[in-house]
Amino acid sequence: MLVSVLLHPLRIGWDPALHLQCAQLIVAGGLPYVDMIDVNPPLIWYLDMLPALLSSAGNIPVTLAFNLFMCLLLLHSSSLCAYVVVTKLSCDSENLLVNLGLIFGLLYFNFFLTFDFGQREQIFVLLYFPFLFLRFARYQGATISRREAVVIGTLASIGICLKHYFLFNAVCVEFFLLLSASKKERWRNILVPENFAALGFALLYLAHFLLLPQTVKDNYFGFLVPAFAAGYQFWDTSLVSSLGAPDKRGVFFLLSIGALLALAFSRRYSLLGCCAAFAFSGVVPYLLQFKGWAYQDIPAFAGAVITICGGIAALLAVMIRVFSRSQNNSEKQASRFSVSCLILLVLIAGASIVSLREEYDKIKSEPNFPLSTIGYSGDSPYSDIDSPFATIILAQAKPHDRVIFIGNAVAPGFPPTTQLRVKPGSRHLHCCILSVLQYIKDVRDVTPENTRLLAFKDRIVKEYAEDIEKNKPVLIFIQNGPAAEYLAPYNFDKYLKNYKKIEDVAGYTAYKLQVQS
Amino acid sequence: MNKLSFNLLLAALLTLCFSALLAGWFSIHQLLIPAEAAMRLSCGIQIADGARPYLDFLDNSSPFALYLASLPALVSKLIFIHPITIFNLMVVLLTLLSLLLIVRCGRGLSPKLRMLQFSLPALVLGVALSLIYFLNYFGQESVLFLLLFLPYLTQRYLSICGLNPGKKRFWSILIGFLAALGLLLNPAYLVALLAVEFTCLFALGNISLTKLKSRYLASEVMSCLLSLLLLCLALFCLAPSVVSEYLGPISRINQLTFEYFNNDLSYVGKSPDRRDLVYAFVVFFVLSLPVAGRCLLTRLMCVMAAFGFGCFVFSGTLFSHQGILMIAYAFTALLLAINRYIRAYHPAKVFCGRFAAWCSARLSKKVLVLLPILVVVCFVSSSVAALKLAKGNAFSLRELGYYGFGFERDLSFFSKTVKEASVARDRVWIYSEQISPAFPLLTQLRRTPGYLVWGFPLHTLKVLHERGTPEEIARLAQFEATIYDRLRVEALSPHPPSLVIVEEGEVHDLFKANGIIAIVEKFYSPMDSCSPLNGEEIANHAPYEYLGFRVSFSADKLQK
Repeated sequence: MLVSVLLHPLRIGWDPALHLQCAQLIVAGGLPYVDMIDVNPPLIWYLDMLPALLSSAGNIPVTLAFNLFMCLLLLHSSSLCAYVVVTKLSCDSENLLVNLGLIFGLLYFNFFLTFDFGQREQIFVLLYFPFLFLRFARYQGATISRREAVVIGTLASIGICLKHYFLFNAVCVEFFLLLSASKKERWRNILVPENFAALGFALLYLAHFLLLPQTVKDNYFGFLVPAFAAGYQFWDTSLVSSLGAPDKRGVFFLLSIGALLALAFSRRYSLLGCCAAFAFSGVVPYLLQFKGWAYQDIPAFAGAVITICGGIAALLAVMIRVFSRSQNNSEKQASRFSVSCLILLVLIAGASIVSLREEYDKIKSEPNFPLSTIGYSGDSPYSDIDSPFATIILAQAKPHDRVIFIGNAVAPGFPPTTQLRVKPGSRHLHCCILSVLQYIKDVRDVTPENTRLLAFKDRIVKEYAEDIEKNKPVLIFIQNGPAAEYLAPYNFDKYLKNYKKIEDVAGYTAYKLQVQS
Repeated sequence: MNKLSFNLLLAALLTLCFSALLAGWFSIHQLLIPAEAAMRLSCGIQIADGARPYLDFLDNSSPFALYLASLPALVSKLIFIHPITIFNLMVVLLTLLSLLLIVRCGRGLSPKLRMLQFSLPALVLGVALSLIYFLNYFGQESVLFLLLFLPYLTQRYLSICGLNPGKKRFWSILIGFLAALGLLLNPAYLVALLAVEFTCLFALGNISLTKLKSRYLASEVMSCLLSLLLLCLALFCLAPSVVSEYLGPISRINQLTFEYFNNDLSYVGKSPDRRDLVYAFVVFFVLSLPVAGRCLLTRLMCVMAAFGFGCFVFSGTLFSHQGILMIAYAFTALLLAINRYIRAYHPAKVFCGRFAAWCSARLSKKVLVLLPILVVVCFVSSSVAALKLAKGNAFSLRELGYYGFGFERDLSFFSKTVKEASVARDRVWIYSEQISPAFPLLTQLRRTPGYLVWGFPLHTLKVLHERGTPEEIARLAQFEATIYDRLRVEALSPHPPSLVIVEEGEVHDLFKANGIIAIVEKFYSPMDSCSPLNGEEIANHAPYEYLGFRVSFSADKLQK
């Protein structure tokens, strides 16, 4: 993963790029929901401040810093899991093999995410799994020090607080453990340090909202949250599309396979059942959001991969046991497990080297983008930034110039804005909010609350105008579809009098600043 | 009577009462049937009249499902009761048989059987409540599979746990045979057998050859595998052309339908939104999982629930009835798990024990005399409730050639148009991309569908021309040509369809491009168009689930 990240210093998905941009703005002194408008809860931005700071300190692309941060997270998650497995759980050869299979799964699923690498769902899985292992160990009667519990509990809580939906996964896992435990252990294991730490962090996070400036609270709780609660359904899709579309159903078939393996071996390895509970619980938040966006099923996908890897390891363990039945010598049996683990590790390492070699050859055969263009050293595959918008930005703007994308989705403004080191020219990083308001207008009943929310549309357009006047962005891209329609009643062209239409590209019209102040 | 037999009695009582309730309900609603079951029954009626599947009429169900559907049609021919009534009562009988077979598994005095005996009422209740929730889909393929396969799971539990008496093999053989019938209803169900046996393999604890032999050479497994083999062999020998058609173009069309995705279905409201079923499944499943590790029976139910979830996703259309397996098995698993949780809670266990003892002390064999009375009471009360809840006018089935009656409300959309333009046993074409609204209406009114029973291949073949490779298109060219040739021949035959109802849009365009609309325009006179959005239709009929945009249908009546 690390080599892959280093080979692709600019590779990033649209949502992670947006969050990273927000983090950069916060690092630069901006206020969430005032200097950058987006509806997501701010924890991911606070978390992304780490790569943002690393980027400025080391003068490396922020995307690379973010991907390195993700690698660190992978390392941290798997190490903590391995630590719990080795020090807290049964270390007999079979259990060890199955638990290592689960940890392998925890690492393995990340390789399939490509443009969803770095989504909050992935971060949640990585931060939460050590907690799942620890909670399992706790119910198994392991001795856990307060420090271990607090560290792992706090990290898990950070993961859960990234999105409120993740609480459902955690609750399901807790129910599984609670119902699996014997009556005596059941309640004693609830009031433990890791749970207090998790709860404590969550309360602190909630409390921090009270300390935010009043303008932040007004914008977030007075407008954005109620508006999105009423109109986020604008992007809703259907159940058929969410579960049955050819590009999505694979995850749910994997879930079924994972369930089969978990159930087949659940008698001996109940941790598999716990992982299956986590995997299936991921389906509910995915459907509650009902957008069908692939990244939203990452917890289900990750859970399925982890369970399947653990299940395959269990199958292997059973096979080794069956074939070494004749030899009662437990040392010999243990050595067989060690040899099997070693063979597996060699196979995995070999496969990784072959795959990396292929990736390296592919990159070398592709055109490169010199990072010196944006003030860094090194190269990046051009395919990682390849889009008509990137071409225009590279031709018409310099690093640190300001650019505005007025479109009703995070893409295509992101990732190019973050990748190419240009700055957002408006506090509105995208205009999803205008679609939300349109939905409220078209679908919701006329109530005083909805009327109040709809009145914000004038303010948003005014803020766009103010930002254009103040920041003088070099480029403005306006979506020809919904966004242009939302702006039409405001005669938005009057704010573009210093701009010249230069191109129509992929459903957007590009305007270039003519008079530099 | 001890407290264990009290559990058996309770399960048996639940079974009998539930079956009586179902029988009472369907003896009043004699025409109530879900669309897919009605479609297969219509094919069954044609088979009973000597037609061959895929050759004389075209549908994409497995040949076994179609041949099985001819059973009620044959009985109907003998006793002049509507095939739908016979079908429903046969499914009620199957329910009774299936649940009694499960209850029977708990018979015996061995203390090892105690766990199963305590679970039986929960098991029966789980199945009964699931069937009641899905009452509108009673008789669907998944319901039949659920009922046919459930005794096999219980029997496997007994075999794996070493609780088989080993002598009375008849019941095990019957259970294996029923499971084989269930598995043959849909090729996808065969995966369930593999999943169950895979789970059973690792439920043995330490695997040894002796254990494998004693538990995998069990009567029900042998009977199931042998039945599968013999039934497939019999079909292959008796109807080779049917098998070759099914394994050829029909399977290919099914495969392509799975591969192609209709992008229209991505929009909100253009497909059924049964997220509630998925939520329920996840909650039931997660709450059952902790017990699944300790109890093989719950584990098997969970495996089947996960399989049901896979089937739900695999269906690609996610209609409510496609969620029956996942919900029924997950709910049954949950009830079994709750049973365990209650037993694990000491005061509850003591209370249950005392209650059972109290009941047992008051029960005697004389009480068994009350059973038939209770069953009759259930039957009558269900019939009365069905009568009271029935909406719309009742009408005699005499005009269809059967004894009995039906309710207007039970008929499907467009019944008025079909009644107006045709009589019983006339050929009527109703073509859209879905089974409804053609079915259950055609079966209810005893009209005969065209060569193409419903429009299952039309959209897929259209997409094939847009996305398929030349080789793929060539492979199905003959099949496609035959469909339209046969339809044209049918329309120009001495006994053409009395009525042609065609969905506006894609199906109409395809029929027009293939010269069928030209024939209809020449020999038929237009009637008022039918629309599923018509207020009168909506008011007079139960709603049905639909994919895509709801559009009108053109209706044309044969000129005299």
